[in-house]
Amino acid sequence: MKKNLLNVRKLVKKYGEFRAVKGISFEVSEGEVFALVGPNGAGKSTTLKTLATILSMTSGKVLLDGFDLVKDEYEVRERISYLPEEAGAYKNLTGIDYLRFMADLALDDRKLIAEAVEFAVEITALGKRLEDKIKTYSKGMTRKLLLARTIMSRPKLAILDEPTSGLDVINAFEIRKIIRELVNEGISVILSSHNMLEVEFLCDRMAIINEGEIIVSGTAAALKKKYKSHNLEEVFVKAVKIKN
Amino acid sequence: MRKFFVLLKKEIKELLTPVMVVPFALMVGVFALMGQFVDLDEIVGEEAGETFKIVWINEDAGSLSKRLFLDLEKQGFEILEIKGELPADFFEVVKFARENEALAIVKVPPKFSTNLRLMKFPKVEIYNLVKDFSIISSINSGKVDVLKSVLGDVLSALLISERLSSLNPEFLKNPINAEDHVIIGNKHAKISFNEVMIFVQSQNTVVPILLILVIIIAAQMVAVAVASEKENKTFEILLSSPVNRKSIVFAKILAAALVAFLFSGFYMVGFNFYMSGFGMDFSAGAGQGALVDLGVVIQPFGYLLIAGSLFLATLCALAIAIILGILAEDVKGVQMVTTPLIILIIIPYMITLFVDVNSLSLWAKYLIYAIPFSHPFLALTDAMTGKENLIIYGLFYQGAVFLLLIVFASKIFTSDKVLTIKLKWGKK
Ligand SMILES: Nc1ncnc2c1ncn2[C@@H]1O[C@H](COP(=O)(O)OP(=O)(O)OP(=O)(O)O)[C@@H](O)[C@H]1O
Ligand SMILES: [Mg+2]
Repeated sequence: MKKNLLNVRKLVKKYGEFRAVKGISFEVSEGEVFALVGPNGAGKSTTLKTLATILSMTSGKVLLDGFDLVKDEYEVRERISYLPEEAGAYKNLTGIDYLRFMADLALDDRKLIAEAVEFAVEITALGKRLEDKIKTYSKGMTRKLLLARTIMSRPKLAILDEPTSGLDVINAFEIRKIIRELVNEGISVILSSHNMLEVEFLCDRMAIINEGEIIVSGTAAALKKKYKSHNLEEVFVKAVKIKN
Repeated sequence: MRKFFVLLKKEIKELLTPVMVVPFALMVGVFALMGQFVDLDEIVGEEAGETFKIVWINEDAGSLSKRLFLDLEKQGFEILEIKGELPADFFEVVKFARENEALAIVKVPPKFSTNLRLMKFPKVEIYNLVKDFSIISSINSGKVDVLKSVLGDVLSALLISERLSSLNPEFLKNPINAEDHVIIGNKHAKISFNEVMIFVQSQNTVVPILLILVIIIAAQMVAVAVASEKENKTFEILLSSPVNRKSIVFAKILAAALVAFLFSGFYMVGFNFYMSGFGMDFSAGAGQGALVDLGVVIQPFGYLLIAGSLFLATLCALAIAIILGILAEDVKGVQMVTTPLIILIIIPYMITLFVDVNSLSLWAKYLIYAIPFSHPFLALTDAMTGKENLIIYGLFYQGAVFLLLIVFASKIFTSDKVLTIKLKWGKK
């Protein structure tokens, strides 16, 4: 049995009076890729933002590598790295300057910073274009840069909100490959996605979330068996329908 | 601490992009050039070297007009007299005057001397030859006014010496020797109030512009810095990074303050060029000794206090602006959310410009003192009237306000309000 890295217990997040996340619980083990899937507005992004420490939870308890998300905010931030759903980079910086700046913020040791930047350069595969200002990049190039930024510091947990949304087939394929490789380095991943093929290819386990509640969770195989379906899309539709 | 400097460097870099710098550099450049092109040395030279030319038409046969002519020449006027028959078209005369670069035409009518002796207020026509409405022209027309008073002066001297030949006309016209003294607080100097006022005003126009400029530029910049993080969707990544949130706040504030001071420095250089082009000099000049005695020449210690007051006012503006920047959804929204702050900065400036705060009612006075941005303007007057202690109290007050504001701003930054707070315009 792998060691448990992230432990979420009865997580609740309210926006004003509106309960966007209604007490969800799940775990992610070391080296595991875990997916949150669900319809629009289900509360996936809200959950991930809370885990990324940029939203404060209304109630519940979350432990990451033994650190409490509320009490040990700083230690948690040192161990996670977050790629928001809609993210951008500083447009007036060049790609390489952006990576250097973010590595400087994420890490303390000079040697580790240099290694991280080198690693990121490799992942982006942008070559000479890294010397150009980010405002000249296409959407896919920026997304790859941001993904490289997220994982270059080798966090314990990478939090990826729809990592491949809006990308062409090839770029999406490459990004999936990179994420898959992360696991070999011992990095855990929690991601959200609307692409069931992606989820099936990438993830060890998944949770289907609807209206702020987890309906069901498990491996893709287990869920297919449970809902007597051939593919995850069918599982998704059935799970959400039954609930309603 | 290392991460703070990493952030600071990035913030300064963001603020020094061409979009921010170029318009500013242009403005300073234009000011400097304008000052140099409108080279008033030419006019000053004219005043000193060249004489004031007038065209003289005399239709009077009496003796007084002739003596007036001679006395005017003695006073240094260069007079071109039109002798003999006057051309039918007066504009022939004007043409002649213009060709000779005369500033005015003076026409003495018939029976001038007779009427003068009868004390009948005889008429003299003075035609001011206007070229345009530039500053140079207004200076020239001022010279024409001088001509008028010289005419009156010369004539009364002539009449007095005719009637009361035993008395000195200069004495009769001005029998006392008035000596000007000015007292400010418990300081005294032998100088006219006018001279003091001219100096104080020159000091009082430049410094407040600088103060306003620093505060407003800094506030706008920090609000833009926050709003652009939101607009470019870089904020969430920054906030989830292992950096102290207070470092983020302070890096943004410090970067904006540094760049604002830098810009204002350049602005002042440009502005000084501009003003010096007009021959205006902000050093106290001739009356220096008397002005220093009065304490109106601000001394290094006074400037230090004013600078301190400006610095703290800027910090207060920055702390407010960084909160306002959070409220703005994007960079375009910055203008709107910072408008109340800018009004709050300009109001005390306007008030101190036009009225003495001490003459206001008590509550109005306290209201002005309560605004941290009033203090640099008030400090200026206080430094000139020897009330340094008031400035120091002001510094403590501003410091306290800044601490409160920065605690509040940090609180917002360390909570998730920094992402979720929104201005609600009515109901949706
Ligand atoms: N800042 C906010 N203020 C108020 N309500 C919000 C806010 N952000 C999200 N919500 C609401 O919370 C609910 C969950 O939103 P969330 O963004 O987590 O959904 P999601 O599962 O990520 O959806 P999608 O698949 O469209 O990205 C939605 O009903 C949304 O309207
Ligand atoms: Mg989402």
